[in-house]
Formats: sequence, structure tokens, C-alpha cells
Amino acid sequence: MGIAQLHRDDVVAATVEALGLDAASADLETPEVLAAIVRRAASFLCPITPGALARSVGECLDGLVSKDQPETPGSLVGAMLEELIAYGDLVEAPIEDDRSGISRRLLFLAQPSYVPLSSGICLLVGIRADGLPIDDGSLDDRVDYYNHARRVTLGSKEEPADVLGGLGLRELSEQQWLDHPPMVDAAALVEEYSARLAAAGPSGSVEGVRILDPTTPATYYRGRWRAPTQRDSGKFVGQRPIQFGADQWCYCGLVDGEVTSLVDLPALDRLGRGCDEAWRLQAAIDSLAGTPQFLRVRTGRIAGEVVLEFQSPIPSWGQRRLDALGQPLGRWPRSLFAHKLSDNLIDQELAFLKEAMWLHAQQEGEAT
Amino acid sequence: MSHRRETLGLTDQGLTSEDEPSSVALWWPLREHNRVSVETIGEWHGKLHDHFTTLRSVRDAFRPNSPVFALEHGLDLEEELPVLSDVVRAAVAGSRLPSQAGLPLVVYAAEIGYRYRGDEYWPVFEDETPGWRRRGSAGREYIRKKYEVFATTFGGARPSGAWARWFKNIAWPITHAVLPADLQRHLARLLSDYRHEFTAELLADHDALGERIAAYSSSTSSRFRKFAENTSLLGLVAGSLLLGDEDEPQLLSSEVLHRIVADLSHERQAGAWLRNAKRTAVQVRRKGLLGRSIGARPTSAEPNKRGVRLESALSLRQSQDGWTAYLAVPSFEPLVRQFPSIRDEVERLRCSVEGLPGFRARGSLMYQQGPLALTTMPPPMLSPVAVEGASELLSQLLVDQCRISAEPWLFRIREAGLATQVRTNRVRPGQDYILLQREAQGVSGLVDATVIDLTTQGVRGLRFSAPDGVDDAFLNAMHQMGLGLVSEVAVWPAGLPPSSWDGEGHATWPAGDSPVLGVRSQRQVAKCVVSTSEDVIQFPWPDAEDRAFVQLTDLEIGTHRVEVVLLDADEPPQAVAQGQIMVRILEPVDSTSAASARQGIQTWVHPARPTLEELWSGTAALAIDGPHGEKARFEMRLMTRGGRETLAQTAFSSAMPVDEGRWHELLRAVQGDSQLASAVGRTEEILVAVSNPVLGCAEIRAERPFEPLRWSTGYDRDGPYARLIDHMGSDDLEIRYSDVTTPAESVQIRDSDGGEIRAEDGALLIACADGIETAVVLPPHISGGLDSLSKLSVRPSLQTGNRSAASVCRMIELAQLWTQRAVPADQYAARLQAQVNDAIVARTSGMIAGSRWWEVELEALSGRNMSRERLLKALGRSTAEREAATELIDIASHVGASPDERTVEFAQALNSHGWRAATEFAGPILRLGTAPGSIDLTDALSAPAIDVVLQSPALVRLARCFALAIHGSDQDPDASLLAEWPWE
Repeated sequence: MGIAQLHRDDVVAATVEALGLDAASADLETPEVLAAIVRRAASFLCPITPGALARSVGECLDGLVSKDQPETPGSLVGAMLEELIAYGDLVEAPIEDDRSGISRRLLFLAQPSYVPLSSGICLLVGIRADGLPIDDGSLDDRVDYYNHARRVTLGSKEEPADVLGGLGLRELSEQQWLDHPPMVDAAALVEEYSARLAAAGPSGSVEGVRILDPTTPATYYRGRWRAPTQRDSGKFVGQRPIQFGADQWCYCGLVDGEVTSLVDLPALDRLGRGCDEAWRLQAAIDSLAGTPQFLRVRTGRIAGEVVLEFQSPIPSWGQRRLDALGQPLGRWPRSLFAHKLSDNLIDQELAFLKEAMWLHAQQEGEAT
Repeated sequence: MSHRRETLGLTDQGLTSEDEPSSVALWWPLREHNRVSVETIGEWHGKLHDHFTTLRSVRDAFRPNSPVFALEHGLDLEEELPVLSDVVRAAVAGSRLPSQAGLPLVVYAAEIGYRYRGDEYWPVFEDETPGWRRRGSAGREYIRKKYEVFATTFGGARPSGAWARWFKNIAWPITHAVLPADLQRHLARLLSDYRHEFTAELLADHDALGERIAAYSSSTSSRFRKFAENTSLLGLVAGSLLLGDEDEPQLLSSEVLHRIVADLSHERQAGAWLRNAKRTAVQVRRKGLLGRSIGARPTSAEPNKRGVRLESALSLRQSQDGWTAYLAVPSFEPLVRQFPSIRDEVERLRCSVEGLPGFRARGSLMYQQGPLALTTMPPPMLSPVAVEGASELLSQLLVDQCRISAEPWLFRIREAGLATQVRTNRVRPGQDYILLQREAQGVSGLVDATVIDLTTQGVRGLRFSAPDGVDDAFLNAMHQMGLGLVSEVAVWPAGLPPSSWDGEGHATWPAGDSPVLGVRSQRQVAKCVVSTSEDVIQFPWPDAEDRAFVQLTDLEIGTHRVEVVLLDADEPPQAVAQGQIMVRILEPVDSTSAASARQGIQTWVHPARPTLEELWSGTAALAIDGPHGEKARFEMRLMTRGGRETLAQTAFSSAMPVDEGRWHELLRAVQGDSQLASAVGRTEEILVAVSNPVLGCAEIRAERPFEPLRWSTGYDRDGPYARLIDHMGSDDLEIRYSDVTTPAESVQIRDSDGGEIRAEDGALLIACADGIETAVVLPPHISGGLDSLSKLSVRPSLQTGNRSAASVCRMIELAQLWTQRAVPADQYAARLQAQVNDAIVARTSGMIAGSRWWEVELEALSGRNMSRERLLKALGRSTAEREAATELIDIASHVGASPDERTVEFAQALNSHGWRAATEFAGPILRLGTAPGSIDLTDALSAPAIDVVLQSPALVRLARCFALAIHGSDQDPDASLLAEWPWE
């Protein structure tokens, strides 16, 4: 065995290389590297709470991210974790402790799979346990990484089932992978949750709730969160603290700032994500309030490409669709995140986002 | 060429004169093949003789003892081999196979062996070789003798191990096929999975390499495991595949190696596995790494220097009732690999975990269990795991390698409601902790320390915070509690995340990783010294930095203590702080067992690696967990060997969790599926896939063991049949047949001739050869109608002989034959088995307990339910007997379902009513009264138990009273004794 001193940059390079990525063009803040690190940690640590996974990875990155990075390693990892869950590499599910009766939402590895797209590209989804590579190393440099997404472009004579199925990966149809809730209008969606809230009955006292303020601009998502005040009466999307685990998404009725009724999210699909339902519900609320959430549409650097800049989070099924059709660009200036699309798809996708999420598209140069 | 002329003139000595003509000059019209000028079998023999002679001399110059394989024939596969095959076939068909020109036949048989996929070798050989079938077992012997000549003449490989002993004829062509097609994928995967165990020394020692790979072969097919018994051949093949093209001269010819590699590469995944393994092997070889000594695998429980140590992880979780201690019991798989002799015990025996009620399911130790909520705290420095009936070696290993750490137990609160153990027992300022101790100790100096509520008994807990500024009072308090303080230096895993990290002092990485450690100090540091037991470096502390990093490379599997000492700038330098971290490098993981691990659906099989019979019969059980209430879909496929053909399949679903009881309910429905039931006798593999579209998928496979003799059963238009699959080809094969109406009598069947055997009314079939036996119970032919159904209700006729221990033993042996050694072909056959068992129990009880009791047995056999009064009336006059019987009848309706629980009740009843001395025989006596076939006559208790019941027949009456009363209270009136008493 040997022991060698490494400088910070050496550690970064060694880590990037150990993940099979190019140390010359990436560091630990590069989204593709972060995604690979989180996948690796998850492959050993799942089932685990999202918070514990983010903390574990964050500890390993301590002192290794650049000093001008405004976010902590834990925060960077937490954001990437959300993207990996949305993409489908990880599955969040409730697990009951028979003894304590407590249900915790834990992260599990998604089954290693491939999604053949009509474009001839296959997305790689899922994680093998115990640090094993998804492809047994046989795809080598054929995997392209775009943020959290992994793609394999097949040759014209190659069949996905031969190339990827032969590696033990399950085929997941595009339709299965892009499965989304039924399209409804905003009023019907809000009505459905309101009916559940009414059926839930009085909640009793609930402390520590934070709500998404529907009166604040949808352009700054984090700025919309606040504690209720005495002036708040009505129904709000929010989060409440629970004794053991991350905050619980909820839809709550308030009277003078006090919670009177409550429905925990997810309410429609137990294996879905609370945030997915919450974000879609908030989009419906904003739309009904006449202040729909929006995204900016900008011309890309390369002709024929368009960049969609999102101001609010979207559910995982929306992100997957964009991952499949375009390229995730990750965090993006003056927006939460962005995706790159071919301009021949733009009309179709804007129509989908409008129908599914009531998002308003703001074209380049258009006033906010 | 003179040799060829001699061959042409040889006289056949091998087969009978009717089979072989004395003249061997063979001229046969051949297919059109280019460039093939050799045409007679004699010429082929000569050509091969020259080739193998040369090959032998090349090997001798390099490694004299290395074997030559028939597959190394050097013939062109496209041009020459087809011609040779035609020549051999023609010679066989024309009965002109020359005895002393045996090499073409040897090569021909090896080629069929290379394509062998674990089916029957001889039927394939016979199908491809017209005229061979009529030679029968003489032909098989003939081929073996040709191989023996080949081994003698050219130093050819000789089969070894149990495989060679029981498969004495086919072992030769299979061995000379080097690595038959169905084994290649398994070997490639093992080489890839365990490539990080390669050392230069291991790669250079083929025997050791073979032993190592064989130890890892448990997840492969039973065929591969049989192949792996010949560890020297396995090592030679593996070493050649890994480094063969780097070696000169080679231990396996390059043609054979390229052929195997090419065949493997047809399958993308297998090709990738082999490439991964080769890449690592070449790197290891070139680096010339000298790893640990691999010459001697430990055979005793003596722990090796860095051997496997299983760590039971403690944690605490909070609920509304307070904190509870949890224990995660690690998988024993790494220990089993190191000590293969304990595998069977670990896979099949039940275990208990200290602090938890009851037993864990059989084979649980092959999985990581938990975290399991502890009712009571296990004692320190002892193994929390006890295996029922463990061998001395396993018991010792449990103590040596898997124990609870010493008191006190320190836990760091990692998140709300969750605390993990800090094994170093050192606290870090600014963190929150819980300390568990078995006895409370008064502690002063701890501000804000609180006693916590614990649901785990036998331990007390104290929650406290380590302040940022540590004072003397706090240090004293820590000292009192047996704790230390880490404040000056932190050492943690940096960069690539480890596979586990307890946050303070213990981290693990998978084999092949080069861990990076961060070192941080708030002190003024000039130099840093990092050391292990093998290496040390010293380097100046980086300027203007509060942390430094070191990388550890080429770490062996095992635990390494890494010490960090920080020095000041004085001369000589003084240590200002020191710390340590235990770095553990894990054994490589098995990629098949990791395939579905950590997904939202978790599956366990008990026992851990069931056979097809165990899975189908329900002796083995599945357990599935996942989000409660979510649906799991099951797909069961019955397949031929290797999954090449699906014979029958079904799908069903259930809400999770699925425990063993629920699995048995689901299985019963599947067993009733006529399509599956009729296919199971021909099935070689069962696949159960459990899936949920969101949560993932897990697969469980079970196969029939690759046995020398086996009955294959099935249904066709003429009803049920059995066919003997004979891999032995022994001349001593004997097949016997017992009718279900006279189960103690058997007749010999002269020759099954590989054909189907049928029994209109159902029967027991036994085949045996050279000490190997296989038995099956065939069901009756139910063709429809009530008459036909009456075949399912038989009254077997039995003669017990005089009332003696010998007679009892004979009946026990008969029950063993029918109910233990024989496998029922289907549920109807199982019903016949149960009826034979009932008859044996009744006759044996009647013989021991007297004529009055025999009347009760006759009534029971006729299906009458026995009332309390009827049972008591048939008892002896003894008050004790009547009181004991009354007690047993009373508890029968609510006694536990397991035979063990019932045995305890039975023993208590005996003890309470004057049979104290007989309580130790309660188990055997109850077995005699319910399922005598489950009695092990070699067990020390068996013979005295039989003597006791012959002296005190009341004991048998009481056992039968108990059994009949339990049957009377059973909700299923048709349940048999075998079903009601599932003795292990």
C-alpha cells in the first residue's frame, strides 16, 4: 500500500477521474460530477433519508469546492439530489417502522433501466447498488452526460435491447417514463384538493407551518415562502415540520393565520412526490389568481436551439419530458433552472407546459 | 507418416467383435470441404496424434505437469472439424470404429461437451451420432477408456473431485471441453466481480486462484459449482483467460482461448465482464504487486490478520414512546466465503438475535438484517447471534468475528430522532450525544444532561451535548463515563464518498478504491505525519490552510488503522494533536446479489439459496417488503435448464409486505394451477420476479441440483409418467417400484431404457447406482370420473412384524423412504405420500400401543373424527395417562402451529403426570406419532426413545391422542399429518 499527500486540486482531479469523468474539464461543482458523486453515495447508503444522503456527500466535499462558490457543498448536493429524484435515478417512498408506527420517506435506488426515445437516443436511468457501474463498464465513452441526465446514442443498426438490454438493463418505454397525471384545468385541480381538505376535517393546532405566498411574484420562488400571519385566511400550499424527518408538504386551510385543516401531500399518488403535487397545485392557484407562473424563452447560442428559463420549480414528470426532448442546463442565471430545446419542438412543448402547468411563455424581449 | 500407416493396420480391441470389424481402413464419402485432405479415421488419428505429441512436448518444456485437453485439437473449426465429425459419425454408423484410432472420437466427444448446456449429455451424443445408442452403457465406458488412454499418452487432464466420482463417464468429455458454453458466462462474471482480489501472487498460482473462485461460486448455477469442484482446472482456465495471451508458452492453446473469448463476446455483458477482469489482471501483473499470502486459506476459526470482521451496527431511533436501540446484523456472506464449510449451516439454519423474541427465518444470516428494534440490550463483547445447532467452527466464528462492542455505547445524534454509534467513544465539541450503559452512573460536570426514556430494556441512557468550549469539568465527566474527546484534529473521508462513514473514526470503501482522507486542525501545525502499519509519510502542513489531504493506495481487503500526528515547528518537533481513522476495505460484492439491492422492493428467501423442490413445495419461503399497501406483482416461470425454454408461467399480485405466511397462501394458489403442476416435474429452474413499476424489481431463481440421477416427471395423454435422467451411466443401475397399496413391497424393473415409466394407481420409484439413490412418488392416472378419483383414497396394506425395536425401526425407514427420500411428483402424489404416512403411523402405533388402540387407529384411518370420549375410552386405566390425555386434548385447540411449540407442551404434560424421565424423548415420540420419517435413526435420542415407548406404550397413546385432537380442531379436515406437523 502507499500513502501520498494530495493538494486540493489533486483530490478534485482524483475524484473526478475515479468517477470515470474527465478531470481536465470538470471539477466537483460541475453538475455532471455532482450527479455522479450523489449516485455513487446513494448506491451504498440507500435506503436513506434525503437529508442524510445530502449531508453524507456534503461532508466528503468539505473544503473541495472553490472558495468563490456561494453555496455550501450540502446545498449543492441537495439541489442535485432533487434533480436525480425527478429524473428517476432515485425513488422516494414511504416506509413504515412496525415498532414505532412512524412512516419515513426514504430514498431507494431506481432499477437500472434505459428509455429508448424516438430520436434514437437512449436515456440511462437508475443506479446499481454498491458502487457498481450501470453498464458494467462496457459502454465506456459512449455515455454522454448532461447535468443529471445520461444518454447513449446508438448506431443506426444497433437495437437498444441488444446493446442495453444485454447489460441487464430493463427497458422502460418513453410513455412509462414520461407518465404524467391527467390533464385538468386549473380550477378542477384546485377544487379536487379543496374537496380533500374539506373532507379532512379540523386539523387541530399545527405549529411551524410555512406557506407559499400566492400574492408574491412567481419570479422568485424562494422569496415566496413565509410563515403565516394573522392576515392569512384561505387555502395555501405549504410545509410543516414533522418530528422525525424532512418537512412535510401540505395543503392547508388557514383562518387568521392559524391552521384549521390540513392535507398532507402527496394526496393523489402515495408513491409520488409531495413537491410534485404541491408545485402543480401552486401553479394552478397562481393561474386562477391571474398571475400565472411563467418561463422565459431565449434563443440559444447555436442556431436552431432555444433555451427555456424557468422561474418556478416544475414537477418531475415535466422535468423528465424536457430531459428527454432537450438538454438540462442546470442552474441558470436569473432563473431557477433551464433546458435547451431544438426550436422545432418549442411550440409543442410550450403548449404542453401550458396545458399541464398553466405556464405562460414570455418570449425574449417581452416585458415581465 | 509411418505412424499413420500403423494406425490404419490396427485391429479393434475395444468393443465387441460384432460392433467392430477387424479391418479399420475406412473410406467414406465426405462432404465437399476445401483444403481438407485427411479422409480416413486412421488418418485423422495420426494427424491428431502428431498434434498432441507436439503440444505435450511444448508443455513439458514449460510446465511438465500441466495437462493437455482434447479441445486443444488445433483443427480449423470451419473446415476440418466438420469433416472429422462426419468421419466419426460414419465410422460409428458403419460399426467401423477402430479401437486404437481413438483420438477422433475423443475430440468429437469433447466438442459435444463444449456445446453442453447441462442437459443430458448422452442423449445429445446419441442424437448426433447415429448408431451409438445401441451400444448402451458399453459405449460410454468405451469413450471413458479412450480418454484414459489420452490422459496416459499425452498427459491429458483427468477429472477430479466429487464430479468425477459420480459422473464418471461424462466427466471426461466435459472436462476435456475445458469450459463448456453454459459455464462461460458464470466464470466471466465471477472474474469481473472479484477482480479487485487479484494479486500478482494469486494470478501466478492457478490452484490458489481456482480455490478462490470456487469459494465465490455460490451464486452461480449448480452445474458451475460442480465444475468448480475441480479447482485446479478452474484456476487454470481462469488464469489462462485472464493472462493467457500474455503468457508464452500458454497453458491453454491460443485457439481454445480465442474460441472461448469469442463465444463470450457474443454476449455483450459477458464480454464486458471478461474485459474488465483482464484489464485488472494485466495491471496487477505488470505492477508486480505482491499481495497477501494466498497459499493457505484459513481452515480454523483463527482470525487472520486482516480477515473478515462482521460489524453489528447499533443505532437509536426516537418515537413517541422514547428512544429504542436498533441492531443491524450484517450479512455473513463474507465470512462464508472465507470459511466455505459453514455455508450450508448459515444458509439453512435458524438463528436468534439476542434482544429479539423468537427465531429469525432460516438463512437470514445470508442477508443484512435490520436495523432491528431491540427489546433488551444484548450483552457486550458477545455475539448477539446464536445459530440453532451450529457447528463448533461456526459458534467460534460468531464469537470471534461478530460481537457487540464493549460498554459504554456512545451515539451521536445525526438528525432529529436518529443517532448512530460512535465506536471510538470520543466526543467532538459542538455535537449532541446519547450514552447507553447497562448500569446508571452518577455523572457530575455535564450541564444539561438528561436521562432519556428508553423502550429497550436492560440499559439506561443519558443525552448530553459537548460544548464548543470544553472545560475541565466536562473532561472529567467524559473520563468518568469512559469517553474521550476529539477536539484538535478531524480526519474524514474526502472526495469520493465511502460506502459507509460513522461520522467519527470508521469508514469503509469498496475494494479497488483509493480512499482520500481529509485532515483538519485548528492548531498551529508545521508538519503532518500519516502512518499505517505498513507505511508512513511526513509532509509540511500546507501554507495558510486549515486542512490537508492524503490518499491511500493499493489497500488490501481488511481493516487498516490510519494514525495522524500533527507536529509543531519546534526542533525536535512536538506532537500538538493526533487522531486516527479505521479504514476498512470491503470484499468485492457479488453483482447478482447486488442487482436488486437497495431498491424499493426488498426480497428475502428462506433458506437463502433454495432448490427448486424447496421453492415449489413451500419448504422455502419468500418474504417481500416495501411501502406497506403498495402492490407487488409476481411472475413465476418454470423453465428448462439455463432458462432456455419456458414450460409454464403464471402471474399474481399481493399488497406488501408479504411475509412467509402470505407467501404460502399465494403459493398454494399457484400449486393448484394445473398447467404449472404438470410442468414442474420437467422443470429445471424456477424464476420468480417480483416487481412494482415504481419501486423496482427483484428476481429469485431456484434450480434443481445437478444430480447424477434424477427422476423427471410429467403428464401426457396417457397420464403421469417418470423418466430417469442418468448422468452416471453405471452398469449397476437398479430401478425398483413400490405400489401404493403395498408400500413395503418393491419389485425391480429390469431396464427403463431411458423411457417413461407409468403407474396407473400411483407408485414409488427408486433408482440407485453406486450408492446414489433418487426416489419419486408418481400420482395415479386420474382420467376423469368418480372411479378415477377413488385412486386418490387408498388404504395401504402394511405388515409391521412383531412388537420390537427392530420392527419400529423398519417402519421408520419405510416412512423415510416414502416421505423424506422420495419427492412427490405433484399434489396428488403428495396425497398418496400422506396416506402412506398415515398408514405407517397407525400400524406402528397399533403395534406398540395394543389392540384397543389399534381400533382407534382404524377408525381414524377411515376418516372418522375422534371425539374426546372415544379417545379417552381407548386409553389405559392409569389415572396419570387419562389426566395427561385430558390435558393434551384440552390444549389441542389453541396450541401453537409449529411442532417445536407442540413438543414443549407435550413434554410439560408428560412431566406433570409422572413421565419426567420421558420428557427428553418428547420430540422423537411425537415424531413417531405424526411423521416417523422425520426421525433420524442415527440421532443419539432415537434408539432410547424407541425403547421407552416399547416399555411405556402409554406414551405413544398420548402422542397420538394429542395429534388426533389437534387434527380434530384443525379448520381443514382434509389436512394430513404431514401438513399438520411440518417437522424440520
